[in-house]
Amino acid sequence: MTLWSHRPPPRFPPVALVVLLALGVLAAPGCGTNPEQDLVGCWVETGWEYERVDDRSSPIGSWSDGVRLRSYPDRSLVRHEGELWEFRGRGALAIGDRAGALTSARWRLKGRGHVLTIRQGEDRFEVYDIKELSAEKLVLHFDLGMEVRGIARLEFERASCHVAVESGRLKQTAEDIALANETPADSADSADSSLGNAS
Amino acid sequence: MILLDASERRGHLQDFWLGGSTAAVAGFVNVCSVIAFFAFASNVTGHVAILAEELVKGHVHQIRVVLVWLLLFVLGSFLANLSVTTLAARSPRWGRAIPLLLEIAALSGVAYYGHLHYAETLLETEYLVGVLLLTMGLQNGMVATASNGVVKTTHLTGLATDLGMELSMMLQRRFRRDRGVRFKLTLHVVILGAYVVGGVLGGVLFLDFGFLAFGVAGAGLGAILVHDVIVGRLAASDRAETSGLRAQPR
Repeated sequence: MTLWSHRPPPRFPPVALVVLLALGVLAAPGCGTNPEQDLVGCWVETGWEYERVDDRSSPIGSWSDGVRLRSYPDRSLVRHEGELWEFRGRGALAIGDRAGALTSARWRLKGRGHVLTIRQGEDRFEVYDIKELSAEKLVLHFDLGMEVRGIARLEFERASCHVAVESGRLKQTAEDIALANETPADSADSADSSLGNAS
Repeated sequence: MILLDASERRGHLQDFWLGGSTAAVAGFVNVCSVIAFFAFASNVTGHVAILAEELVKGHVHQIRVVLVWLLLFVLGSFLANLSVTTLAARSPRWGRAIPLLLEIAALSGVAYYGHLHYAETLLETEYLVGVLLLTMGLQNGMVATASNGVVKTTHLTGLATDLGMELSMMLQRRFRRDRGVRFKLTLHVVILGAYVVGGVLGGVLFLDFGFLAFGVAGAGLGAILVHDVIVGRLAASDRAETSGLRAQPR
């Protein structure tokens, strides 16, 4: 059996050239802004609202557990209330709460840049849908489960990291935390290429 | 029984086995892709809807990404059909094997890169999802061409539509006796079931073994190729089909 005979190969169909050209143009970098770059910086959380509230006139919509959440004490939900998030390059995230306590985490974008994952340690893994990402506003949706409140909506506004640090709102930057936690072994492999544990 | 036999004398059993095995691989890859990348690898309908949504929102980056994904699926199907039809006269067995070999190589590449190098950047995610869509396009194009358009393993929207129609027809005596209708109903149930089983298996294996699970999907396709080689009728099939190959899907 021979793959190639003495006959001339078939002419490459023009449509193939069109498809390849279109792919090349579209795959070229620099077309549109990258959501990863758009996210980098400091964001202050301004609201946490539930998809379903019993009484819209009550203050349940902001910083409240709501009746249903209290009815399910076994649900260990992650809460982010009035926090300041600093997204840094290479996936480092610093979360400063309203009391000034600071925790470090790791952030990644998945899908077409519409899913934000946050991992703290080995056990705590959060997944958010990015519903809006502009220069000044970030809106995340977090699925709490139908029996609790359905979807929680987290709203953030762009903030100045310098102001946050100077005012004591953000005591360390994520970079400081990463440097403080980094061991010599980590330094050699700081790209953090451990995705095998994607959950 | 050669699963990738593209001749006129292709039987129903071949379609059942080809449809079932490749649908299981498609479900497997799709679920692994959702867990790893939060993006579907074979849901073209969903990606088209997303493209429209992103167009409305004016998200240039996302429009570009989804468009490339869709084009890669089309490219995969295009290459599969091109391989089968252009090599039909000279070397039909290679024409059918090349798309599956490409798919196996791509899935193995995703397994290797994901296991050893993937740093979870968005760019990597976008390219890897694109590769998976290409593989699904290759598979769907290859299977549809080889089965003369009878089997489509990732097209579950159309399959569910057909299934509903066939179940409706089964309520009428004149259709119940129709072998063609009964064959299609059985085939679609087999494909749907295999897709679900493959998806469950993919989810379990990915959570246990991470990206190496994509290698299992590649091995599944390799088993189809090895099966056909071992059966050893490819040469006879070549001779017979040079006079009767139907290049285009029905």
